[in-house]
Amino acid sequence: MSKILPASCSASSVVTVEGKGVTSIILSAGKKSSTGVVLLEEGVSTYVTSNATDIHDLIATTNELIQKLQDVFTQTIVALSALDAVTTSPGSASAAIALVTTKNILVTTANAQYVLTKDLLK
Amino acid sequence: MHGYFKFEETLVGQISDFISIFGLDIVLNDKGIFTFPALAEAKDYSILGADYLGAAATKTYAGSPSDIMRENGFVYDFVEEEVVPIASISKAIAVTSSNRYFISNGLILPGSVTEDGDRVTDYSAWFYKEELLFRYTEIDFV
Repeated sequence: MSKILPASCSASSVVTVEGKGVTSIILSAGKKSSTGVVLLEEGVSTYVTSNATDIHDLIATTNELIQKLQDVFTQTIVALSALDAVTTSPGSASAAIALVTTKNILVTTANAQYVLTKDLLK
Repeated sequence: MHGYFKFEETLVGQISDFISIFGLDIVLNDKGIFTFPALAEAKDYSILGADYLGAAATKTYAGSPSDIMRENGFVYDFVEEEVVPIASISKAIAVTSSNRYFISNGLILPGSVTEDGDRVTDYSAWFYKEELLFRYTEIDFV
């Protein structure tokens, strides 16, 4: 006989049922707190959570990353256009180059957050 | 069955008669099983440390109430009307073997210990109203 019971899992992979810790096989990563169910088959407990919010967060972070990349491309185009417009000194492009540099930092930050999301799957 | 009681009748009214004779309360639970009131709501799982019919479960397990009682080492003490560890039962009983069945004085308290030191875990019995006698067709020990 098997039983399905409401359960939760802490970020330290502790599964709780009815307020008591239950040694369980965790099918997901178990590195972020979550709610789910325990499938109890005789003496074997298996924890399953919904990864819907993980995916939602991942999409949001990826979307943010793409937007930052779009900004980088836009500013690069501006910089290259400025360079293309001058015949002698490219000095007018320095401001655009600074902007590209700033955007590049933002992309790096967003990417770090993206990697963090991956490492914190439930 | 491992301290969980299930009563059956072959004719309507037999359980009512049994209740009248022994003064033991027996109810029909929502699964259609006649049992003691304290066992009527027995869940089909236990969580280590959580309450199970008034006792702290010793194991996380899913199964029938009798499975749960066995895995947790529980029996139902119908005298004290509580679920207790089987090892806490100290009642001594005598079991006599007949040709096709065993005889003991009254309804055996699960966990009771025979003269040989065997502890009763399970049994099946028929009650003979006219003789006020229990005949046990099967008794298991640990």
